[in-house]
Amino acid sequence: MKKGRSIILCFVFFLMIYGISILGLVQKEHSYSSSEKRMLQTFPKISVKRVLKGKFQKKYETYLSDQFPARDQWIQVKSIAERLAGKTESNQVFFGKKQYLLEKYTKEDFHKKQIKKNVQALKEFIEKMQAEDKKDNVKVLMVPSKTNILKDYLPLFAESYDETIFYEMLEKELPKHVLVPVKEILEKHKEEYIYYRNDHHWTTLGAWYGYQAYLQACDNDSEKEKEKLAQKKKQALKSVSNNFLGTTYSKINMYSKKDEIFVYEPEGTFSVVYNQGEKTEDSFYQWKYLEEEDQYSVFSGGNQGILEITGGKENGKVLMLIKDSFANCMIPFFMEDYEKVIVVDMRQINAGLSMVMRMYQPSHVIVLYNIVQFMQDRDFAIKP
Amino acid sequence: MVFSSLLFLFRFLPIVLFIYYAVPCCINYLWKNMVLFLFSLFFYAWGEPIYIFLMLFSTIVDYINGGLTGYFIKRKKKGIARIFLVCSIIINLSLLGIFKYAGFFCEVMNQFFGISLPVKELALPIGISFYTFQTMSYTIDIYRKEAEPERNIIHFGAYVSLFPQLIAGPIVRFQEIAKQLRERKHSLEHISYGILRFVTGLGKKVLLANSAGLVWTEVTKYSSLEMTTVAAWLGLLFYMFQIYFDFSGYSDMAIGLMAMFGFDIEENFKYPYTARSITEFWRKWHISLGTWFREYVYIPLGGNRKGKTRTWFNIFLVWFLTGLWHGASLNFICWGLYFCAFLVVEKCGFLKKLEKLPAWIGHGYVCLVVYFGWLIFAWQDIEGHRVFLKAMAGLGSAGFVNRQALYLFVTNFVLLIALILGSTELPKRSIAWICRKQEGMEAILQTIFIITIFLLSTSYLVNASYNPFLYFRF
Repeated sequence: MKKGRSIILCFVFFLMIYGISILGLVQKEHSYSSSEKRMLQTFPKISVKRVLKGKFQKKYETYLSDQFPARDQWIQVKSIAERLAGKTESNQVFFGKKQYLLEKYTKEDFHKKQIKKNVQALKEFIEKMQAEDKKDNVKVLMVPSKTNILKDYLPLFAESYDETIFYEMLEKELPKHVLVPVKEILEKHKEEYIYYRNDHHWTTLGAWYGYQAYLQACDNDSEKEKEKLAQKKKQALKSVSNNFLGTTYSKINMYSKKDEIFVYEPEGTFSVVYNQGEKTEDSFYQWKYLEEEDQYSVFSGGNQGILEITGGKENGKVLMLIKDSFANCMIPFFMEDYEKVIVVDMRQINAGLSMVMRMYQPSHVIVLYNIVQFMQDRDFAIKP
Repeated sequence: MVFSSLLFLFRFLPIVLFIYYAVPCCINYLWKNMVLFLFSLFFYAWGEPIYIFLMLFSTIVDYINGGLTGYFIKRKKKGIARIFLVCSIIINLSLLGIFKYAGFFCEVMNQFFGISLPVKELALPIGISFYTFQTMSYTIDIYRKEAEPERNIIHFGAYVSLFPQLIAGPIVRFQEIAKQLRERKHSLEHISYGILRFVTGLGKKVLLANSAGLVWTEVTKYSSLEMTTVAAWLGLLFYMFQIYFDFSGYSDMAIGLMAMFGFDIEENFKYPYTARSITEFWRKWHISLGTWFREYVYIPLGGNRKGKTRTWFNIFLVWFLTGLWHGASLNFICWGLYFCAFLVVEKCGFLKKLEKLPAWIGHGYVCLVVYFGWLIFAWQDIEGHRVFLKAMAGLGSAGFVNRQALYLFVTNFVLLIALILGSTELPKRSIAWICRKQEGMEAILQTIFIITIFLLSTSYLVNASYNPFLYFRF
């Protein structure tokens, strides 16, 4: 009996270490991970110098873990184990109520200097715009992150970094009526499906509330007309996917309910020019992404440097949207309202703000960021 | 290289095991020891290739010194043998001194004498505290005729550099292993015992110690405005468990690996947190270090045979050195002397009284003393102690408890229970109780245990490198 037991134990152990090792050796090398959205380490260069300095060894260990067979499934195993062990978070993600996964932010995620720089840059930009006599045509929409609006869904006693301090800072620094009260309107509707359960973005419905808040903050049309316009667009939202798993999911590879993606398709014919002539399409949507892992890219194929959208009302209005990914699902709401919509992602272009402004001479400007991403941004402030 | 890495588990270990068992046992295990020696050097050189020369230097110097000591001892020339013994001790201690204590020494000198020696910290070669102690034991054992010198440098090299206990012990004395170097048994039973121990240690390190460490790290990041009484007590508790599971997990892995290669070495930890007195605690905690200091410092100095004053001095010296061995900093010395104080009190009669009291009093006493010991151990600067002590005493500005502390407790509750149970003999006993009637049951449980713990540990190790880069395309 003793012998039999030993044979089983040895067999099982060696099967595991040799099996996994061999699997790792025979599988094909991947250079990109779609769930982590980063390049993976491939087999490192080897030379005497690099070995003596220990560089090769370090890279090799990264290579080994990056290329580990069934990498994503191992992450899932760990998440499930932690969930079973009563942990209420894993890899900086809370297992929230109502099947929500919520990102955890801590004070280490933010750097005071960077925040100051970004807020200062935004302030200067707006003051400059206003000085150029475009008084009420500049608006700032700072979208709160999911964890802050859905605080009630956090596990017992859990806390995440409170963004209120950022809003207070912006309110103090920015001129009056520039900051659109997105936070307030989202808080009012927090029971609705305004954030994805498994992604850090707001849903198209959430973006619609942002759009509504923007309309209300502009004083061009009558209240009634604005409301009519907004409601019409809300009615037209349609579902295009019910199996979306996004970035929050990617951190732990575990979910309890998949997400639905809604889109708003503006009426009329449009032309969308990508990155100053890279390509031109007649739809803002790139439907092929619904079949892929990265479904949020259905909106203009992910972040683009510059998009020029024409085909809206011929009213001579040109909107410039300076934004991060939170704007992607919101862009269609503006397409009919402006003759031209220019969408600029500062992180993807080499030019600075003043240069794009000179190039396109917009009549209206919106700065739209997720507040967390804005405070962490490294591109907004440095480009003149 | 460390055991708890994908590199070790899925590259190094499979290869070394395969080659080790592929080469023949002939010529007194020369080939097998050669494999161990070469792979150990590779293991050591992986992180810092330069220090391989240090290892080789140590091996050669001690080989020569040990050999000559043995040569003259045999010819009854103790005086000459003594020269080589002293030579070996001086070289080993110098290595330790240069690499580990030079910076600390200069700092102390500067403080005391107001001079300004340049403080230069060298990168600490891994395992130097362990292998210098091992090689010293070699020459001393020979000098004391407790072991024969090893004539073949490959056998000796295998002993010095043996990777299972190279970087974190146990400190294997030469006399313990001398015979096994040339004559040991390989059997499936032995290997499967090794596997069981190795996987247990891996689980202790990766699943328990690392998780407890995360909690501790988080608490240490709190500012004094967030450091509530509950958070401080809880944080230190997790630290107490982190150290135990980290260290004993490593020892388990070492013992397990040694068994896979046919070596038997002594236990290093025997559930120290269940001790009933500090005397007993130190008989169960890092046993190989305690033995080393007793065998090579306390007893040679006369132990308790040279009068009371001398005994007290010997005890003091051993604990001063034990503290210093743990790190080149004042707080480690304090930590050693802190235990020294309790041991002296126990020696003076408290131990006898303690034994008459109910067991739980003894357990409580040990837990508290050890717990506060880790407070001394945790920081090298006094500022850390101050913030923590203040919070623990309820005098911090953050108050008794806040949401943060409660959350820490709730989300780590199951972990805490696992840590508490894991540091007692309870799991082992319950399994023995379940399997008391059917022997087959044990095999099933062990197999399930190995598979679960190994795969879970792997998933934690893979996860450690999992690094979603979310703002790349979003």
